[in-house]
Amino acid sequence: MKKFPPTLHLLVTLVWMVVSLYMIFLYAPQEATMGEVQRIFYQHVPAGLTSFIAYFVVFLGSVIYLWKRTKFADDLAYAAAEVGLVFCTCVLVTGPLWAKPAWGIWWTWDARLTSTFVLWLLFIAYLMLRTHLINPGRAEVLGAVMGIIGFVDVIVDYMAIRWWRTQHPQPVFMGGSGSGIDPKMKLTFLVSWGAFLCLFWYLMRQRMALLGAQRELGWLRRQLARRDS
Amino acid sequence: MGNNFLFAAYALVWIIFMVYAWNISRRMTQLRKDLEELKRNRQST
Repeated sequence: MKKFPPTLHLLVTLVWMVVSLYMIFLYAPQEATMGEVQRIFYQHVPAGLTSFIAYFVVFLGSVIYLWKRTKFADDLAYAAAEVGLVFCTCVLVTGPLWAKPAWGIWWTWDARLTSTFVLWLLFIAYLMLRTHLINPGRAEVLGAVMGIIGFVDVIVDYMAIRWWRTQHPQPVFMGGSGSGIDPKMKLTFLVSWGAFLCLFWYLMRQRMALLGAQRELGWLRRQLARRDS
Repeated sequence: MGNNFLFAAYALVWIIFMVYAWNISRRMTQLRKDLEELKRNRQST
């Protein structure tokens, strides 16, 4: 299979984003209770689900790294943590901007919001650990252990609105009887999430390419230093 | 009132993505410069 060129990937992502914006503002019907502000849903929820996927990639990369010790798995986990932090930040930015007009408050420490905040801190902690531990091999192993343990928070975060009564609304998808949305809203949501996933994949590719290039440069420097000494 | 929150949410999400994409691109440019410099230094010695 031929490799999907990054420029084409970026173009597809941008077109997909424009289509999703068209659907969000011109195709999806206005929600009866909250009005226009409900359209934040089409960015807030896809960003949240994408950050779950990002942490799942961190978890997967960490497990494979501890098992096989491959650089690819480590790069995958590192890149997913950085890109995941970006998406999680979007969740924490759009959430309060939706909460204020809908609930009358910017933030509350309920189970869903708190576990999402913890997820954001986990992404930061993972990246700090990887950046500041310079002992070769140790940072990768400790990062992988943290990547695996931290996955518990993703499960808690996902299940929080199913296990407990929270200020955050109950799930609209796979939430049992009484859940679900208008078909046009559902289609718009799926297109928007697809655009987010395409962007996630593009950013992951770019970040992994950067990690590979950084490693190559480091190796080259070490080789030259050895030859010169 | 609600439209202001909607506009702010969409604008901020796009700003976050653009800043991150710019940051990756800047790091890649720096890396290419370092590689070129390394090659130049090697050739001059």
